[in-house]
Amino acid sequence: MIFLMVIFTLLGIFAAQFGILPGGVIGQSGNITEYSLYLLLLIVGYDIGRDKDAVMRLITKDKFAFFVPFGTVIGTLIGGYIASLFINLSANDSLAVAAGFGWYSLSAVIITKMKSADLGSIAFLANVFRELLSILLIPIIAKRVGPYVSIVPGGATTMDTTLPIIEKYAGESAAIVAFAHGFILSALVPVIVPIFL
Amino acid sequence: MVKYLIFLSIGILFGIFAPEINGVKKVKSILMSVSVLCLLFFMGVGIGKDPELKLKIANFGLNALVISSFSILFSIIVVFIMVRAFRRHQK
Repeated sequence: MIFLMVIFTLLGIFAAQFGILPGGVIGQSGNITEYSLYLLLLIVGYDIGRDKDAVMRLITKDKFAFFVPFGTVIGTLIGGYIASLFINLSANDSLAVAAGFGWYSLSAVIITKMKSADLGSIAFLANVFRELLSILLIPIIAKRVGPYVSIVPGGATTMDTTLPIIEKYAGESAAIVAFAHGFILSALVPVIVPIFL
Repeated sequence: MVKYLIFLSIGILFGIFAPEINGVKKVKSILMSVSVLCLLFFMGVGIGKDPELKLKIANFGLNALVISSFSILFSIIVVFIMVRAFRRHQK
């Protein structure tokens, strides 16, 4: 399944980039993504509601998992700062790009408006890469490291695009935490990105 | 964001209150796989429809890859340490 997921994502990128898809389909891609997401959220919700043990386990044993978003924020910013030591960008610019937490559309727009189109392009790509790498990493980390750590790469996308992947590979408890994680990080993007610009 | 929460909540309520029906698991599993692939394909279309994507990757790809890789790596390290510390504290 993981290979299929990566292949379908790449197929979508290439199909749009090389004009294989009709213009109408490309124009509607946002709506189709949105409706697929609603359906997935219903299914993920259904699974959570069905697995009462997962909810109880989270409330009684794994309460700490709700602190995961704060670890993601701190780790992402440390990573953004260290990345600036290896590339030709200032620490603030690199931190602003990293603070997109995978939400490529919003962070790129904010950075383009507040700083420059070039840095906006870097933000777009860096956050697209974060989302693509997450699709690859979530199943591996869920299996080898642990369910809650597997939420982390997805950043702000764990409340939408990467949520079904987390639910499938890390389980229902992780899906509940992932939704809260994505919700908190998405709310923080428009607050943290401008701080560094 | 609120819409997502509403759809998730409706799903949870269904999960709690809907009666068990034979065959639902299989249909749900197929529906889930198809909609995940559909979502990822059209997410890819959303990324690929930018006509300047190739130019952006050629000019800024390496910088972007370094930032995303370090962000992911260090967030994994921080949360891994956090989860272990909490678990140890609980014992």
